[in-house]
Amino acid sequence: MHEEIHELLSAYVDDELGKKQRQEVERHMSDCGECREEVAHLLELKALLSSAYEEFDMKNSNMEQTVMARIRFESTPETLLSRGGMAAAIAGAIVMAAFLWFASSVITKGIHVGVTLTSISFSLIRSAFTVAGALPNLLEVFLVLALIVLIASGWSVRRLLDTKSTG
Amino acid sequence: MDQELQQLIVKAKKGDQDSFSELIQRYKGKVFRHAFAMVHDQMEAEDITQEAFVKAYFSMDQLKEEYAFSSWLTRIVTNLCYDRIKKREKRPQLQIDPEQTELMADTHSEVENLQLRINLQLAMQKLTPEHRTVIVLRDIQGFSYQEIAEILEIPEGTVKSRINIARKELRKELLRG
Ligand SMILES: [Zn+2]
Repeated sequence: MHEEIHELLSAYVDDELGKKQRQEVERHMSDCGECREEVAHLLELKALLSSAYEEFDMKNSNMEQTVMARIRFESTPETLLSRGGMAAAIAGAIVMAAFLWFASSVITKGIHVGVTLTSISFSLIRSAFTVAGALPNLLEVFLVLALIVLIASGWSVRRLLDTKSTG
Repeated sequence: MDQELQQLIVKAKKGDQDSFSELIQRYKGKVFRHAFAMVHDQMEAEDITQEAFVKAYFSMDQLKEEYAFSSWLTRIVTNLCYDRIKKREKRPQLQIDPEQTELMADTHSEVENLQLRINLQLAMQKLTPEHRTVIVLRDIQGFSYQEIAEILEIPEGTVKSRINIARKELRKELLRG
């Protein structure tokens, strides 16, 4: 009996037992010190858990703006592409395609550089969004970002070309 | 659920960005604490919070009932946390930020209590992600067993036994220190 009841105590402190089981537990507890102690421990643990995390909060007080900037960025590519961004995007795509072509011919080195470059681009984009949350004009940020990616791609293509001709 | 909240969700579902922004404001604290209690890292938890809301916005049309928004959002957060934990399994875990600790000491004078809470956070990290999740959902977020069952898509009986086991594990880790 004690063993069975003991396994119900966790649900008992959560008030998740049916009426019948709850009464059974309470009846057993009235003459089982061990189970009473267990309930006290469980309640203590629950209280500790709810207090242990309550003072943690975000450092970014602009979470709404950050998220909305990201949403706007992801949901309206046409507004970005319509103004000058189109040229940058096309040029970027061409450079990227060229880069991928070279990368495939220098597979081992290419993949390594590609992975690094991609992860750099991702962290750049990520931090750009945080910045964008505080900025009113997303387009500028996008253009600067596009420029950075372009320069980085150009640089790596040159590097790969060098590697290819020397290696 | 209050009328105002329901209206916000309905409008956000239709793509109204101001309403969605208000939803973020209402839920960001909850989402952040959930993520933090799972990953114990300030930056990563903020990142997950951001990710969760972006994901929620673009899949609002999959939300069937407005009243289920909180559970639905929690499912998104839970899955994002699992992904992050899986990705960093090889990385060494936990650094309790001393700055954060000082911050806590300022607001709570009882040093003993503070130590207890730090120990608890350390113990939480030793749990499997599944056990940690049910503890977070029940004792930090306050969901009922039925709600947890819906969020995790597991039977209610499993929720009950998983919480029972998770608490035993947690206490074992706490005693081990
Ligand atoms: Zn007993």
